[in-house]
Amino acid sequence: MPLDNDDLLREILLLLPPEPSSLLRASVVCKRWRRLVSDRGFLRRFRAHHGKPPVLGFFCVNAGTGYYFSPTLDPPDRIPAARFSLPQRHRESLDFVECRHGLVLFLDKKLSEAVVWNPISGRQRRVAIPPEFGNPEKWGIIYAVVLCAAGDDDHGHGHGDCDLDYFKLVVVRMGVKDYRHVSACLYESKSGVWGNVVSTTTTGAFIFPAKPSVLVGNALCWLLNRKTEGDILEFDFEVQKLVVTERPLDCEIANRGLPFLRIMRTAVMGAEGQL
Amino acid sequence: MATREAGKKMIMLKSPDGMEFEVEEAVAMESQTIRKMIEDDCADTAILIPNINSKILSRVIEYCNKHVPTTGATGAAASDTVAPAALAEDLKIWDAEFIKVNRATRFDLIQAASYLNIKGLLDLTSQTTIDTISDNSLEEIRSFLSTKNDYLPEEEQTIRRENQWAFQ
Repeated sequence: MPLDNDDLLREILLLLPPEPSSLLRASVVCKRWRRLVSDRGFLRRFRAHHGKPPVLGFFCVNAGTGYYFSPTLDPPDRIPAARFSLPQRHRESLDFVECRHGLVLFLDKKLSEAVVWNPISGRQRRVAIPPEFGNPEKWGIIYAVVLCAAGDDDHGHGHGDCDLDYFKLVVVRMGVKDYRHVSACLYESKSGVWGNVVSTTTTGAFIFPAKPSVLVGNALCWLLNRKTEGDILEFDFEVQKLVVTERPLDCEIANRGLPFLRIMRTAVMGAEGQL
Repeated sequence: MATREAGKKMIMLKSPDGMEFEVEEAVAMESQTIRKMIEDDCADTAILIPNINSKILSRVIEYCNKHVPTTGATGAAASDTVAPAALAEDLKIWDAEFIKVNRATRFDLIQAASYLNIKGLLDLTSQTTIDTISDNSLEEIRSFLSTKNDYLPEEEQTIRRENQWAFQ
């Protein structure tokens, strides 16, 4: 039988569909199949072959019960909510923030900690927010972001291989006395340290909280609201610079408001930009 | 010097059971393995293709004949009037017919495509096998691939229990 050849069988198994039940079902065929499909190198190639992974579902935030996972795929790929439930410490109060690159970010404002969790592997890391950044319970972090950083060293990196190996964390807060003052700080798990706190002054705004940040190249962008509707706060984590880009004057949004505005990534002549 | 026939360079492929196939060099070079032999000047006379019997080799040549790029003055398939999309569609239909073979032949074709490094044929044969795997139950997969289930019942149960949702 030609499929006795591991190399050949491996090439064929790479073509299995990317849905989450696919490799699990294959691993039950026999021990050899399980060995092949659970190999780290194989999984890496499997992800690279399929490109963008399927969306498994969403984390929904509920005022009463916190967050919960809501699967979107049909059986046998429908992952139960309990599978993606972060084990919490006793009397812990975690605020769900957002997901990116297969990682979920929570803030524990009481302990001044960020909790980064990979729901697939179940691993989590806790990172203390630096004291010089202020007391988050008192002054309120308005936004926090987690990014997988494994692609910095490995350009062929497919998210899913990383499992908290390397990640970046960004926190943004308003000024203590002056709400126009905004500060950001970057943590890199590789070095395990926070960078300098960088600040800027907006024209009198805070970040619109209902919309997640948008990653454009090396920058995270947020829409600002209040008097400066449509302005964009941008934190470039590569050069660690925080700037406000004002909305073009001819962009008329007076009667529409923010729900109609969003930041979109777009590619023009090969360059990434924002709209 | 290689033979030339009506402006086309021909080469000879030999199967281990003694059959000889004269094919256009461009057709044979659909195989990256043969291409390398030709480019490295290792293919003066006939090229012996080990492990691939004449029945399978003739099917492989049939595939390469159909898939060789038809640009230039090569044969009837080349046409300025047929749109590329129509040609691709025609190839797809042809492939679907070509792969309607029994299990043993398909596995022989996979092995031949892998050894001769013919990406299109390997993709076609592998994808057909994966489709069969995806569409059938575990028992049918094991039987189709003549694979023995070497798990103890409790071992298999443990794997299933850990990710019960995937087996619903």
